[in-house]
Amino acid sequence: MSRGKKQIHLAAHFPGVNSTTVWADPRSGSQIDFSSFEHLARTAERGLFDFFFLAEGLRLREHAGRIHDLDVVGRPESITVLNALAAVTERLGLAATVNATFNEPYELARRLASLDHLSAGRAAWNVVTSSDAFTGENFRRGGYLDRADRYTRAAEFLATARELWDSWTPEGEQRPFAHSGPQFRIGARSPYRALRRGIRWSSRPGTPARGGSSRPPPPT
Amino acid sequence: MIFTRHSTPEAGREFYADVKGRLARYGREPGDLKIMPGVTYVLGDTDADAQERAAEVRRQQVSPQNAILALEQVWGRDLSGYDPDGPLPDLDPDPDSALVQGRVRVADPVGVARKWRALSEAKGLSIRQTVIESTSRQSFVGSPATVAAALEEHVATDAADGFILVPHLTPGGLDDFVDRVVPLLQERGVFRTEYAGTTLRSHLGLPESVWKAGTP
Repeated sequence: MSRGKKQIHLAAHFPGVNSTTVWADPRSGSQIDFSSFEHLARTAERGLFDFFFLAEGLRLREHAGRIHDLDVVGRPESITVLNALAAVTERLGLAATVNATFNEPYELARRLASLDHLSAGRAAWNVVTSSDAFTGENFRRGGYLDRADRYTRAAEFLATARELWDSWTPEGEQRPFAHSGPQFRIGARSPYRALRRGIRWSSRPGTPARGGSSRPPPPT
Repeated sequence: MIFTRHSTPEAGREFYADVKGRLARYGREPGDLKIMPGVTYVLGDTDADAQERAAEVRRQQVSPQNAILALEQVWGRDLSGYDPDGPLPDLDPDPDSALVQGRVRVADPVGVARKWRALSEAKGLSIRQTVIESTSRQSFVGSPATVAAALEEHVATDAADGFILVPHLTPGGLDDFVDRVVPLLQERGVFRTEYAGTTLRSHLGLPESVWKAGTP
């Protein structure tokens, strides 16, 4: 490797549920079997990629009242798949898209910290939001957030998750945790000291993220 | 990390400079944040071969049925009676349509429809050909050497730090890239030949610990 040349970072996205994916090719295999995820992840690791990246689908999309033709029925949930991939890869980063409009910060901080722990420091979170009432019908007691509020919630969601992960000092001392804000009021001792190693990231608005969209928060 | 849209090198450089330029205000170095657009690619033995394959992939992605689906997403109307190989509908999109649920809404359906009509008229394209032209451009098409050079150029000129590859086939869609393009990037000295560490932070060249004292 010659020094001085700017190095390229490579990652791979599992083929999505949009028109990029070719279904008609005879080589096109299952979109939901673990073997498909495993093959792509192992190939990415063989290619020394930084990470493998999964999108999120929270509700099957509909077209004229029927399930959209390009959607995948039975697609397994992303963090669960990444936990399984952690066992069959050794170095590859494992990135999950997870929505901050739905979910709760303590619960999600815990699931991501668990992935980071099981994979020994390979977890990443692609933070997205959704203002889609159709998707919201599956969550929040049927409610959803308008465009401005979803970023307010996402920002506090993110801050709360970070506070939870940082409530352990690097020396291994666990400090009491309490968060009180307009969106969340949580008092807990976090059992997880992980995700100090994990990566938080975000998608740019307009990036095809199906049903969810996002904007880069100010770097923290 | 920012996952962004792939665009022209000029637009990429503008976005890159803008975002990286904001980092100092937050006490961060330019290298602390990586910008990686999602990209597609089609490889061939020669550039001409790759172009031919790319056209075939576009035809597979936009089947006659998918062309009508894409059209209906913009128009918000039932257009199942239209011939995918015929002209675009004369009527305007319904901006308040609830035909499509759970997909990112087309921001300006009337504007998109106008653009598609203009394209179709200018080039004499059918519905399906118009959808192919408008929605299915691959980011990098060429021989492995051409693609490797283009990727290097994009990163060297600060249009990106790297790429999130979106293969179009499951599960074999990455095989050819890893077998044929990665070795060329390594020869060029712009891609690692082994992992330096075990964590994602180490792959991205970020410090291992980001503990922030006193946040709670």
